[in-house]
Amino acid sequence: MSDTATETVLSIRQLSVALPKGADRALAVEDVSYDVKRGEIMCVVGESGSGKSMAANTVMGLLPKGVRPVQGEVIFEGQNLITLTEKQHRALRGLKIGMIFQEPMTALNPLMRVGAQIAEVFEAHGKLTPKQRQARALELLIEVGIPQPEKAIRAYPFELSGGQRQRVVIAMALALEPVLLIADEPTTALDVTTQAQILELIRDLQRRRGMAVMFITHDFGVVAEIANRVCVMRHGQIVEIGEASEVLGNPQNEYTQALIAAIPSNAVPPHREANTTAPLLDIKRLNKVFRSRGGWFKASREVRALDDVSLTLARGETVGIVGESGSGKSTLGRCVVRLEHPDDGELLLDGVNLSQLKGDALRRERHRVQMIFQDPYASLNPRTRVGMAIAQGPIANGTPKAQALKQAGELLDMVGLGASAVERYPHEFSGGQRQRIGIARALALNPELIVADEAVSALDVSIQAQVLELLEELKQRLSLSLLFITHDLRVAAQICDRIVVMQHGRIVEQGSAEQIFLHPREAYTRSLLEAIPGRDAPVAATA
Amino acid sequence: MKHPLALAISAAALAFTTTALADDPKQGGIVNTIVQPEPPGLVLGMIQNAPTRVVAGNIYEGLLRYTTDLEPIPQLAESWDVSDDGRTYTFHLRDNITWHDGEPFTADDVVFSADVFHRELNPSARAVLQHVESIEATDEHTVVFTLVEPFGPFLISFEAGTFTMVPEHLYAGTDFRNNEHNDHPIGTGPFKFANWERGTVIELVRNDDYYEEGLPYLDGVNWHIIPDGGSRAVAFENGTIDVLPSGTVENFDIPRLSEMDNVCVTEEGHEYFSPYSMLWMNNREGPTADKRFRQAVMYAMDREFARNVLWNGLGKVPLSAFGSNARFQDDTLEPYDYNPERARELLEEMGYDGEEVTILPLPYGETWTRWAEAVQQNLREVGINVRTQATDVGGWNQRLGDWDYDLAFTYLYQYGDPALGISRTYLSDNIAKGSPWNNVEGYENERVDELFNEAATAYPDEEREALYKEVQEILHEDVPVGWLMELGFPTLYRCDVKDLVNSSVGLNEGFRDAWLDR
Amino acid sequence: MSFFARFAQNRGALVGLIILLMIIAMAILAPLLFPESPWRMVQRPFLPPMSQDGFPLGTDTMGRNVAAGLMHGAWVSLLIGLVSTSVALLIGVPLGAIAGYYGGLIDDILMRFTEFFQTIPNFALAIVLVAIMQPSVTSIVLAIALVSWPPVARLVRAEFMSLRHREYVEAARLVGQTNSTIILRQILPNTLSPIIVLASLMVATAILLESSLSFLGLGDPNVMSWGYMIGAARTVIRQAWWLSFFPGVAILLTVLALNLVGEGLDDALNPKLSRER
Repeated sequence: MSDTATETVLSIRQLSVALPKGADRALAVEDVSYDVKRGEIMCVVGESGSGKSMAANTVMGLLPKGVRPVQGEVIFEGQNLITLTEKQHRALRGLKIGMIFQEPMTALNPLMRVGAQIAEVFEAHGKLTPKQRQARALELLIEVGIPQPEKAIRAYPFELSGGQRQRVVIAMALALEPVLLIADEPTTALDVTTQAQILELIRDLQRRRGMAVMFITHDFGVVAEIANRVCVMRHGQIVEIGEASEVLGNPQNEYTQALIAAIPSNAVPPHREANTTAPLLDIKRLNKVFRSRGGWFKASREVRALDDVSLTLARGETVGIVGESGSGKSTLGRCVVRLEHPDDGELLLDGVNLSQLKGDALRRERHRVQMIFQDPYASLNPRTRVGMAIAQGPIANGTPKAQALKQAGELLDMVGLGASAVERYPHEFSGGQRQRIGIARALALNPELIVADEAVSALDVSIQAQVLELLEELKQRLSLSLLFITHDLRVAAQICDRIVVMQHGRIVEQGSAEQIFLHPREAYTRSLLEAIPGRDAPVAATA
Repeated sequence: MKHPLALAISAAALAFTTTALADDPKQGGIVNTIVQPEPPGLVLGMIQNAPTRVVAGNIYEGLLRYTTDLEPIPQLAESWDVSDDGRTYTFHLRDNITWHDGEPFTADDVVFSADVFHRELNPSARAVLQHVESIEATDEHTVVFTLVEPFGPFLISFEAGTFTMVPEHLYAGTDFRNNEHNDHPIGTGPFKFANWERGTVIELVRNDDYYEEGLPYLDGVNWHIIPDGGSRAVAFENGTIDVLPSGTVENFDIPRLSEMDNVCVTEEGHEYFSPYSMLWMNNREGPTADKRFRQAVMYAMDREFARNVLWNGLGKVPLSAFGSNARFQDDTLEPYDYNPERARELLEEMGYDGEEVTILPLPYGETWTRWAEAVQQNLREVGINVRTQATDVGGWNQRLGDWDYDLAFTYLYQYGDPALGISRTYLSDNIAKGSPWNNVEGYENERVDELFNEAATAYPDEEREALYKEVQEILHEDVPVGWLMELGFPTLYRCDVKDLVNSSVGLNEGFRDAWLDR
Repeated sequence: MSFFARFAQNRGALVGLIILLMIIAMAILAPLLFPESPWRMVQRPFLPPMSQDGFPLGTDTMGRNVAAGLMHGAWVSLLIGLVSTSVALLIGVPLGAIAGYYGGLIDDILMRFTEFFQTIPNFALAIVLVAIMQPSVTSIVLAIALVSWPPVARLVRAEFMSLRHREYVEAARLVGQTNSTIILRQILPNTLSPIIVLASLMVATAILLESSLSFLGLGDPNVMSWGYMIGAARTVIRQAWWLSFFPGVAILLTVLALNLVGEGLDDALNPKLSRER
């Protein structure tokens, strides 16, 4: 809904921002124009590298060294922000324009109490007495819905959860009642349920205060959830802009169409035959407790990561482990590949109990279970050639080097990168390509079971779709058994036969994908489903 | 005829004025000087270190003193007789000498000092006493020494440091080293001990009851203790210090300081000790065991260069084993002049194969380090393969004591008479591990042994001279050690401190006759 | 941007590199320009600089050519600097790697051992070691290495501690690589950048240490180094300023050059702008 008579708060006109020499393109942002009006949420959508954050940084005067605007204007309250000095920018920041970043931990000073940091915002602009600041800080915390605000105000950032920290950051951004709020991927690092809450909070606050909000995101689901207007960016240029309902319901540009198509479907997952063959993986009552060493002044803390977990996985089956952060899903995955040592319980892989193996015995069995890691940038050794990275496994298990490298070439072919990639270094590949290399590496030892630990979570939506497609293809071809760990139910629905939902180290519910989606039994599962952003909004249906 | 009294008076007046016009010593004043390092104690004889000698030599005295030509002159003994057979020495003491505490000085003190005190405490004295059969006080002021056989150097042994006269009435029958009077030395000398502020200054004051009429002229002498060489130079420059004894100033500072106004330099005052620098050459093993190698080394060294550049022109290039201050030196020998060609010839003759030879420098300071470098270069240039070993004083002592060296720098005192300071370096029964001061090079020559031993006790001097001449010829040919330098130890002083150095031990007793022309 | 381009961006580093190359040239050209040993006493002592052909920097207390000493000394300083740094790395890197990788008790023991060396003042310990071993090039190199290795160990340990949790290390463990292979092939190559930067600074420190030891008279007496030249000139500094000045400037420039190059290497190897991703 837009009101044509609504006042324009921020107007970006033909903005071009240049990158320093040697970057992958000359302009970060090219000839970009859009407005943000009072009382509306404008979503700027794009994948990584699209330049969506650059515009926001330009507005705030926070461009990194070497990056500078070369064309256009940014008009805010009659002033061209590009021409302002640092001092003038400082006068605006917080007071007129508030900003929320993606990672709340970096926005908060770890050594200062939260209440003091909110009060600091007032102090920076010379407003109110100290006592009044404290009072206002408390009010703000209540407004952003933080639980137990009187306690929270005296807490340090590390004592709060991710969602709570983000609420504090929002409070700080709103403290001085700015007219424009810029939110740069504020919920990307949060759990689904928390994300839903924060999105609702932002929507509420925006309505109540009549702010203009520029919301930057890569997730179309989020767009569907809260946007009034949408601006889609690619390679620094705007490809489509308009009312949310129009862009989402009837995308004109090909790229927009492709992006929307790539969203993991909200539709019901396809019916899959229940697999009744003998279990390949049999986990019985697995337990794992993490103890932090107590010092002289603090008691040791115990975290129950896995609490009596039991599940089975049949040969050729894909089981999804779904949960939020802290649910224990990653610990489970790591125990299965024996990167963690379970306290007790049984981990039977085709009859062999892996849970208590050590040393050489363990090393001999390792090749049977392999893992695909989450972070494509950290999971490959930057100094090792890609072919060697894949071949290292077989070489460590006795295969001669030449043969192992040849096999690596074949695997790279299989994952769609071509055997010539063997000689190149990881930094020459994109995120999605690296993840393919990771898959190739996992396949190198011909494992019986592959654990994918959030394997697509760090990828852009379109890339995500491609990698999932690849996994599906490989699964069919090689009859892989896959343990798929994710926090995203939509992704799980696409690829998994069965889904296991975990919370606080326990299994809450398990069943076929169809069952979980259509007939969730537990309240927690239901809340997870409801929290998926954009579930209710109309989005172009997928094939 | 004028009145005889008037004549006498005018004559006297004339004499008075003429002497007044001449250099008349002025009474009074205090001289400031330095002792470096701080002496361990001041009882001379009990302690023989150089710093003790320098200070305590003004408190204590011996029977005799010696001119710069090493001729004996009276001190506590006003005259002496030697018997014809050279075995009996009779000393006649002055009769007006008192100790600083007022007690009279008698022959008993002499007997006690020589026979008891020094026999127990003083190795140099013991070496002389070996030749003494008996010491007797025949009356209050006469002492008779009877020798086993004639001993040439006997008369030269009575310097204050060797046979110091100490008071019998304070030391007899006591534990000498722990005697309470060690902290407040009592002597017969021109200056009395006044005060010792450890680490700062030793103060001596005039002995008003000194037996020599009019002496000393000075009211006192203050020996300051300044550990840092640079600070000592500065103190001299700014006038705080009047006299810089040798060893208290760096050689490199000497040219600069001696060019200052009102500064005089003298090299005299060390003739009794005759410091002599040598190069030990290991006669036992290695290339140095060959006489020709040793001769080559002597020809290879440019000793004039060292004297001019390193020692600022002080000292003398020595001729041979006997220094120029030593008695009975034969100065007709053919000198080992700087001749690298001859050195190379000798090395070829002996078939030197380039075996490495090490040099052990003397770790006493910058000058000695430079000297080792210079000699190393000299030897390299005639083709000797030489390497310097770094060392400290402890290491140097140990290596020499263990005979673990090829070439090593050192310096010794020759003490004037060959029997006292020179023979010990060449006698074969002085070969013993554990000391850097004996026959360290390991030279063994029967004829040399014979000659030295005979000459020590030969009588009269003409006989000694003949024997020493033969020994010098042999040593000159054999070159058991390298003869580097007769060291010049300069004393720097303000020119208005007169008559400072007037005997062969210089400042060790010089303040007796010194006076300030201020 | 290529490695050299990034390095050259730091102007100071370029200047440092040029100076360093000049010093290396000095060392290499020394036997050509001054074929005679610098110990030879070839002229009148105390010749001032530029007063005679062939003696552009004058002569010293014994008439030795200062220019010859300066150029031959370059070789000594660089050699000792490089070798002692290499030995220190040989000690420090393995210790740090093992401590950082395994952690726990091994880390505790190794770190206490390292701290033991760190608590003793560097220079004092170096003096004691050289004095005990008797001064020679070998003992100086050993002494410098023995006092210089603790910072290397600490750095390597810190790097290993942060890298051992990286996913590619876990992946390596997952495929069955042994610990030693992981240390050598996976982690160590990724720690090279900070080690190289540290090494360049260590060479500078090593040269300073050697100069100080020689100045005090603890140098190898057969080797003419810059520190020795300054020490020998100490007593005549008022008469002959040039004997201390030229070697002093040489040391200053070398150490400065090494520090600048180290900073340049830091910029080139750890670029801040181009963070991965």
